[in-house]
Amino acid sequence: MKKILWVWVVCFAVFCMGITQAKADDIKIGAILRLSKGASDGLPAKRGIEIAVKEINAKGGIKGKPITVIYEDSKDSPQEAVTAFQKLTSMDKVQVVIGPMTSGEVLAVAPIAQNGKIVVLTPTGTSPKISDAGEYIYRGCNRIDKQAEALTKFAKETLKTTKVAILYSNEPYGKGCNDLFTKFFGDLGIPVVIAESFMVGDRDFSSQLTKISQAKFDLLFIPGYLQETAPAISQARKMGITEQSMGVYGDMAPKYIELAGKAAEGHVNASEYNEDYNTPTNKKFKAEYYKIVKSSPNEPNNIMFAAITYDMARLVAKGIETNGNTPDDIRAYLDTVKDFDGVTGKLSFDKNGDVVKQGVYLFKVVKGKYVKVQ
Amino acid sequence: MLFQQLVNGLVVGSVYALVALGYTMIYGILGIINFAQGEIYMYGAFGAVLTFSATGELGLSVLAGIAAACLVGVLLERIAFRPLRGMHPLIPLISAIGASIFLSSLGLLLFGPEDRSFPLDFIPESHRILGARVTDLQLVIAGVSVGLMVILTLFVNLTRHGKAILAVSMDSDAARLSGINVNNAYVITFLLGSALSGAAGILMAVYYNATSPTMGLLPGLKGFSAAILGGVGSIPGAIVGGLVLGVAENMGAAYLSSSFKDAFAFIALVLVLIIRPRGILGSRK
Repeated sequence: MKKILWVWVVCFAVFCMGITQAKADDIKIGAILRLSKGASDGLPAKRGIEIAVKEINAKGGIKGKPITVIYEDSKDSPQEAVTAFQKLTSMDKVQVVIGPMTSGEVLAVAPIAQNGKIVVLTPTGTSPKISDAGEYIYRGCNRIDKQAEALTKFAKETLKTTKVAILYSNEPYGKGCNDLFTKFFGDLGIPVVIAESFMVGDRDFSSQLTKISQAKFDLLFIPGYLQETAPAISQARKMGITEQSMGVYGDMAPKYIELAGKAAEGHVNASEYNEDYNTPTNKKFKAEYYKIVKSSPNEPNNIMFAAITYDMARLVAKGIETNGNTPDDIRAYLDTVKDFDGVTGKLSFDKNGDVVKQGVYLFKVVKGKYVKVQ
Repeated sequence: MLFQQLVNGLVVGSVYALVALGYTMIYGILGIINFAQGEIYMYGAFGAVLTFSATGELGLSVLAGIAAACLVGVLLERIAFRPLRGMHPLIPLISAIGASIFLSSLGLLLFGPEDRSFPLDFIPESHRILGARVTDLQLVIAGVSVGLMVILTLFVNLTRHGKAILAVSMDSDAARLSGINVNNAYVITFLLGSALSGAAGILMAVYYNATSPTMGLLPGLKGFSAAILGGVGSIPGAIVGGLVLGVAENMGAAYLSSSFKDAFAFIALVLVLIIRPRGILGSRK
């Protein structure tokens, strides 16, 4: 009797799967984002995709088929990103994945994506290594060396920097920035007089800052994530370090100004997105995003990440609409697209799959607001 | 610079000492390590930060923070430890680890993953003492920590409840036979230990200006190390252990390499334990 029951259960389960399969003629897109650890940029990134998908589905989807996005959490770990990627491609059978977000995760996923011929678009992986990761790997932000070039040039020409102190986050991103920026500063004839590091999760920077305050410099560069860089600059100011400060993309967030308070004044950092970019698409996107921010005030708010994933999702949808829903169709579209009307600029891709847009924006904090300086 | 690093180390160390006191008191009386001490610290910080952003009253926020920490501590004793009393010490240890994971996940759910700032702008007024820059806030932190330690020592040695705690920690059966309410002593211990950790959390929330649900992890580990370093079960030992740990990691970061700052704290722990296995002020039991 028990056995027969089991047979029925299995039959029923198979039947149900058949039904969901039959229903699932939706167009499926995978997304791997940092939704728990690192959610301060992962959740805005998710919102960006949601806004894009809502817009497209409201217009009847792609040729009458709505888009569904399957979100997976990378938990800020390359291993989890790989697991998520395998789940998306083998169980959900997606042809294209938006994400993962960190360079380490992208580089872990890239070989599997190459093997399985799945298109991957990372919104925020900045490592130069991603350029060579393969023809199925695309990226929607500028490489870190573009950022370094813009920031160091600005330091030399506008800030008239002569000596630099660096306080970097001791993980691949911060350490990579330290090495790269040291080289770029060196090329411009600006020596780095002291470089100190801190760990992710540190909240006490007093011993490093004490050492730094003994040195003679006129620019304090702090690459890392805002959870550390904001308390770091606030402690530096409390310890009487008054020199000009500078940071990377991670510092472009309302949270940075909230955590650093008055210490953020005058801080210069790079960004991918300019809120005042004057196009109808951007105005619409901005209005949608701030509507979400208003309705869920406790959620991390960072429009830059939403802007990049918004562009990525729209590019993918356009690719599927123009060419079809296979990885090679999407690739063919991405490789040939010219001046796509994105909110982060007019987008094209170079032969390495890296986005080409107007360059890097530089912002300065003035009276608690980011003001574009370049 | 030497003196400046010493000051930095002592300020952080005094906070480690507060967390270490929580560990050491609970160990002294129950014989178990309460691994959820770091989470109590976190709830103390959040209690203060949330109340301050809602009301703007500093005194009230401090009280709310300490109350939140005490509440978590007492619930912990009731739910995670009391039912397991008298069992093999490994069982309450596992229960403590479980409680720690539960409490930090609950914090993530309640407060969200992001850092909160403490919306109080301290003017970075600083004094020069022997060539080192000491801010008002640092003086307040060190002063409050020392004050709490003095009050705790007086309480334990001079009051009836304090003496009851000492008696229970020496021999709980004998204490019960001589008419001491053992359950009360446990609850008071948890209240005191949690209040100290909560106070440490509030001080750090103001000092670092960043409160998050995972903020308790590292201070929890460091406080635990400080308690072991000073001799677990010993109140003066926890204080000495915290200060030694804070100074060791700052000196290591200053003169060797800042990349290994956290490692220096634990290297100091291992070295002390090799030379003196019962800790700096630990008693031979």
